[in-house]
Amino acid sequence: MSKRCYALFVCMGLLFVSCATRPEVYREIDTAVEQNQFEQGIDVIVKAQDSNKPIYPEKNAILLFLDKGLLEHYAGKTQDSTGSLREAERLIEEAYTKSVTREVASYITNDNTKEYPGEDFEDIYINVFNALNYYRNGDVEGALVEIRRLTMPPAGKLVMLKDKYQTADAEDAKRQMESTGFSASDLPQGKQVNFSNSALARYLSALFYLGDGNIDGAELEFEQVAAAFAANGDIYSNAMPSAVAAARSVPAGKARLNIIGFTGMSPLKEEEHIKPFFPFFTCIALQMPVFKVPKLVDRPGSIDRVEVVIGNTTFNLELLEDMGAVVKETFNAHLSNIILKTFTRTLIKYAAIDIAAIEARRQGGNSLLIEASALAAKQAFDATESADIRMSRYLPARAYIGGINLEPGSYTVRVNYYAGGSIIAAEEQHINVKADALNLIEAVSLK
Amino acid sequence: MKKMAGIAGVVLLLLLSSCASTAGVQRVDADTQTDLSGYWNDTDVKIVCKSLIDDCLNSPRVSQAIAAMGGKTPIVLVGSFKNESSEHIDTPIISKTMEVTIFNSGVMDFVAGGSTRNELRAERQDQQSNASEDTTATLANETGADFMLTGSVQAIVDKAGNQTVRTYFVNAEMTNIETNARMWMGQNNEIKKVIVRPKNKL
Repeated sequence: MSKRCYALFVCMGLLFVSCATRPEVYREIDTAVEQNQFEQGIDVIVKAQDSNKPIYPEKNAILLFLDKGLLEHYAGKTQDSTGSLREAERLIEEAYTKSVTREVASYITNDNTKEYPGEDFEDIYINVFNALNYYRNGDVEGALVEIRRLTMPPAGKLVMLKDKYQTADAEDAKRQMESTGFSASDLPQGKQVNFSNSALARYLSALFYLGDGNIDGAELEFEQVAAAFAANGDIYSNAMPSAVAAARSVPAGKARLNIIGFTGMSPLKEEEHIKPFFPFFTCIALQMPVFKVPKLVDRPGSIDRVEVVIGNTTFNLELLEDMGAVVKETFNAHLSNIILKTFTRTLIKYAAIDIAAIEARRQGGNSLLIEASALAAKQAFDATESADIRMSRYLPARAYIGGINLEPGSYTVRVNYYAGGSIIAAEEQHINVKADALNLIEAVSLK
Repeated sequence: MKKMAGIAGVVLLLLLSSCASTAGVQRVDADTQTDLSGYWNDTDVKIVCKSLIDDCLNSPRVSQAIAAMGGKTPIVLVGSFKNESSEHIDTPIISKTMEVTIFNSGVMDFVAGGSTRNELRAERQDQQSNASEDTTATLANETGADFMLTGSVQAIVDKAGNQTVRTYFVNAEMTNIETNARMWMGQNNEIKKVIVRPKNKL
């Protein structure tokens, strides 16, 4: 009987260890993205998905469409990007319905067995990038539809976030863990989330309203940019860009050229090992568990300044939204729940081993052998643990804005990306700047 | 053992039965109500257009305006039909359906607007150099419209837990181009849907 049990433990370990997607599989895409070779990154994804070793298994379909959609956006394939991002958004909506079997499996093994449901920050930025897609396809009305999905009360995503975060109690998970006699003070704690208004979404909304000829709508949205800055000093620790005020008052006869720049790559989840103490188990081996939990790690970018050159005029773009900070703050909303679930799962698994050990001792078994068996069982169960580090990999870290009032006409716009005093990347775009129309160009370098 | 194998066989058959390799296509009557996602669909277009068209054609204000024109059939130009909702809605379907039905009723005439008008103007200009003199369309001889048909679609979406309620407000107006006076205004707010997502699946 014990041999069969042991074999079962080993099989379970082998089965469940393979549930997590290793970050190495993204290396080729990451390299392409770092060099702004977005089309190459898309090719890698498409080829891998067509092969018998897809990078994104079916349960990670949301990530497939998110990553592909973002790369398509950066590559200028705006219609493809719209399709991919809309599919990602639809799947996030559908993920509300949870698979009972996968949910149960996640309590036995780890969260990687579940379908990836998407993070709040992903759901928000889908609409921001899709709004830019619609604008670039000449559909300002479509761009506004995307923004309204975020901002329109009573069920806009940002409005819903406010309710969600207001009711979330970061301390609740800690209290539940400590009710078992376990000290949770050494574990990472979830923090209160204040993010419920995006200056980036509001600024784009204001520009699109201006482009649609709705001055009142634009004014309301410009006020919301200021409201977002005032409401969250952690994310908007910088001064509000002067380009926001400048976009509100364009001199008669002039045309305003607005520039939005995206740089860097957002933080990424990595597996963190936490070794707390479980004093309540009789086996010594079980008193030292390993919690494998996700942790956000910055991906330091080299770009620290974005400069725009138009003819003889040069100006710097100003930071509008630290998207990386948004990622971190919204991820915190459910960090406590992730830790509580890891705690519960570990407790259940270890309790089963401890009960078996107590029974073996009661039957007069060799205590050294029992301790060794418990250690082996613990190692088999630990092998099934794996932090869920899934997330979209290609969101930018920062959004910058700027603008200039020009005589209507054709211009060449050069964007220089600086690291220290050196230009490490540059791009040129040609635009016909029109009066009484929205003129917006987008510049991207994820270095 | 045999019983177990039998049960396993049945389970396997059930699993494989959902693995058909070709898409199933079934033709249905165009009036069949097919609500799949809860978003705006063809049934909504039909309900809204029928209500707005009936309202327009039976409006005493429209009858008065036509009578005031001394028997001349009013000429209408279709303007913008804006989507002010948070859902991608193909609003030209609404304005085109209204145009077709009102035109066929004989109560009003329509002139081409938007991109069709631009295309026609370009063609007319092209004919000045390329068509024979006796078949060339005359410039500056377009029919001026008396009224412009415009409209908008707005939606209120409310959400709590697994329930979403979507209510649509479709507005249409006919405005006198010379005086800006409204000739007719209609609103349809009959479309209200409660969408319940299951919390769990297998």
